[in-house]
Order: sequence, then structure tokens, then C-alpha cells
Amino acid sequence: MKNKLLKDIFKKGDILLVLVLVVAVILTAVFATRTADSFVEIYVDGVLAFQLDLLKDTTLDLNTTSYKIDLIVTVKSGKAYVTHSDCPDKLCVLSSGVSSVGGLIVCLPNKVVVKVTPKEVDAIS
Amino acid sequence: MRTKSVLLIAIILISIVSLTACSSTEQFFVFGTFLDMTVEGVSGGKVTREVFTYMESLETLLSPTVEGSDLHKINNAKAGDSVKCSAETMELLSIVEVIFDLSDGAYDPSIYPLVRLWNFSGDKFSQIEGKTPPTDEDIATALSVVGFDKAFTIDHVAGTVTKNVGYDGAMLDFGGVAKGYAVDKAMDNFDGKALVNLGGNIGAKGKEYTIGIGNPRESATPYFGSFTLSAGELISTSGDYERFFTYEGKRYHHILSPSTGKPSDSGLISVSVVCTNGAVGDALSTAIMVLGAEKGKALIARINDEFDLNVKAVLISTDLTYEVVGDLGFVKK
Repeated sequence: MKNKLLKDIFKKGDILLVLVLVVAVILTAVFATRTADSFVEIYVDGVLAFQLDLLKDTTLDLNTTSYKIDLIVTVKSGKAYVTHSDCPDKLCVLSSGVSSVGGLIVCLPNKVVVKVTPKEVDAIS
Repeated sequence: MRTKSVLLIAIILISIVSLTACSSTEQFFVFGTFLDMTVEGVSGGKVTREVFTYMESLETLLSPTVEGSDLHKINNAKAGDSVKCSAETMELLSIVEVIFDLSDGAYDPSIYPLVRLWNFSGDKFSQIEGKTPPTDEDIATALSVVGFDKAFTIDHVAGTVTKNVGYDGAMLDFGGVAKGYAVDKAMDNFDGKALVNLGGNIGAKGKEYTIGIGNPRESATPYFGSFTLSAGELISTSGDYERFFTYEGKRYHHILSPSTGKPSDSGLISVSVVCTNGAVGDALSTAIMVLGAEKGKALIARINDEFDLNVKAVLISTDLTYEVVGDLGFVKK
């Protein structure tokens, strides 16, 4: 009954057209989201320490003279990961990569938070 | 039948709305730097490729290192030989003449022999390692052929440029003005909303955009501060951090003073100029780096008195303090 009703409304070609349009809308939404750039903020002990571009592959070692934390944040293909940490539980390293705004990785023992936030500017001069 | 048509029309309308509401960013490489174009609407891709092709043609026309370009012909001509130039070169020269005069030569496109001596030209900078500053004697020799008003005669009626007698070695370079000019020209190609960024020379069309000013020194923040670039405005930034080398602990950067032949030492390390003409803004950012804050502000005031360009600026000093000229709504990060 339901199928018959659908057939009454749509012919095969119409359904194809609808599918094509739906795919176009989904693709548009995906690309629109990607161009709404985000960046990764790295907080150490509650203080903003670094900001990285989420669309630029990079590796940040926090074992510097200023921080001396044995933890590495890696940004690859639009996702941020904690790829190394000397913490005992390694929950941060086991966390999935974060890419969307609000995404969060926390390393409690090292007091490090990796957070995806919306990019505040459209371009830099 | 009616239900079907209504459904289809609704789906098509929704699709059109979502497509036109979206924005896309494309990146190209031209003028030795990245060209990012963010366009809203469906026809963005076609326009961006057209703009890229146009910019490539401008680069070919305006670059001193491209054989056959106007500047290459001028720079290789003998004194007294007139070189017929394109309309674009002549238009740029007319802007350059005004900024050269108003800045008392702080912006000087004839500085190219010095740029090459210091190895700051695009073709040399990345290839030479272990750079050292040139000797004072070499600087003096290069300086002897620098001086736009003395070295060149520009004939706007005939559309020609001629080196004056005694200035065979003189050379022109539009490095401090061409990218701003190119972005300005590119903006005419967009009907709707667009943001064009050619290596920090940025133009906005159709809507406001939030623009960050780059950090002149290493910092935890991704940019120094931000402001709103209104539709129709362009920004250019010059700084001592873009192209430089360090020798014996001292930084030598690419903004050279036409009076000393050495990197500018005016107390400013970054100058961003916002105005409605890309070439003017680009040239002014260089001129103000050379002039320093006080003379730079006087130059902006004079230009705003004489022209309808609404020039505004952010000046960052060596101690990382900053000054905003005009109503920019600048917010420090």
C-alpha cells in the first residue's frame, strides 16, 4: 500500500533526481563545515598555552623549557590527537582524535586540555 | 501529479538555497605566495579559476624576473631607450609616483638594485644560504642608481618608461605594490560575497570579514589582534618578520630604507594599512615601515586630506606596543 502510494507520487526518474539533489545538499553541507575553519587550543594547568591550525598538519612537543611536560599533540588531516604522554593511564593517547568544535581531549595527570574551538578570524594579514 | 510537482519544486528550492548559502575556499599559488579565495554562492569555482588565471597574467606582466615582462624590459634597457609598457604597468606607475612623492621617497620602486644586493628578491632569497649583509661600499654603489624621480622618466601619454642618462644600472620593482594591486583588480570579478587573500594582501567584497593581524614575533596566540574589514576595503601588511636573515645575532629584514640602503630601523616592526585602494595600501605599508610612527601618521593624514581612500592603520613597535590610526575597531588578542 505504502509502496503503491510512493509509486503514484514518484516515477523512477523522479526518485533518481531527488537522490541526486539530496547528495548535492549533503556534499554542500560537508564542504561548508570544512571551510568554517577551526583551530586547536592547548591549555596547560587551565591557561591557554598554544593554538594550532586544525587544517595544517603539525606536531607540538610540550617538553619545552617553558612547560617540561612529556606530551605530544599531533594535528593530522584535520584532526587533533595526543600521540604521546608519560601519564600512567594513557587515556588521552587512547582517546579518538577531535575535529569538530567542542571536541575535547583531557590528560588529567599532566593537566593538559586539547580543545577544538571555532576560528575567530577569516584570514590573517 | 500536483503533489509530485510541489514536492519536486520544494526539493529544488531547498537545494538551490543550500548551494547559494554555502561558501567555498580554493587555494592557488601565484606571485610567489598562496592565493586563497573564499566565495559564497554556486559559481565560485569558475570565478576563482578565472581570477587565478588573471593574476598569473598580471605576475607575468609585472614581475622583474619574468623575461619579456614590462619591468624586465625596462631593467635591461639602456639609458635613453624608451620602453613601451602595458596599461596595467602605467596605471601602477601613476599610483607609485604619487606615493613616492607624498612619502618623500620612503616608498621607492627603484630600490631593486639594493634588493638584489641584499639577496631579498624572490628568485634569490630562498636559494642562498648563510646570508651576510653587503659591505658599505657595495651599498653605496647600489644606492647611486636608486631614486625613482632621478633615474626614470615616465611618459603617460606615450605609455613609455625611459632610464635617464647616467642611470643605466637603475631597476624597477613592483614588489611593494603589485600584490595589493592584483587583489584590488581581482575583486572586480566577483558579483557577490568574496574574500581574497594573496599572501596577506586581503580584499573583502559584499560583506564584512574578521581579519587577524599576524604576530610579528613568536607568540602563543595565532595572531596579534583582529578587526573588521568592511566590504570594499583592502588590507596590506609589511613587517620585518616576513623575509629576513640573522647574522651575528642581528636581524636583517627585507624592508630597505631608500636613504640608507639598509633594513629600515624606524622603531616599527609591522605596519598594516587598510584602505579602498589595494596598490596604495600596499605601498603605504612599506613607506610607513621606513618612515616610523610619527611621520607615518602624518602621511596617512595627508593622504586622507587629499584623496577619498579612508586610510586606516595598525602600527606595531619593537617593544610590541601598538597604535591604531583611524576607526578600525581593532581588538588585541
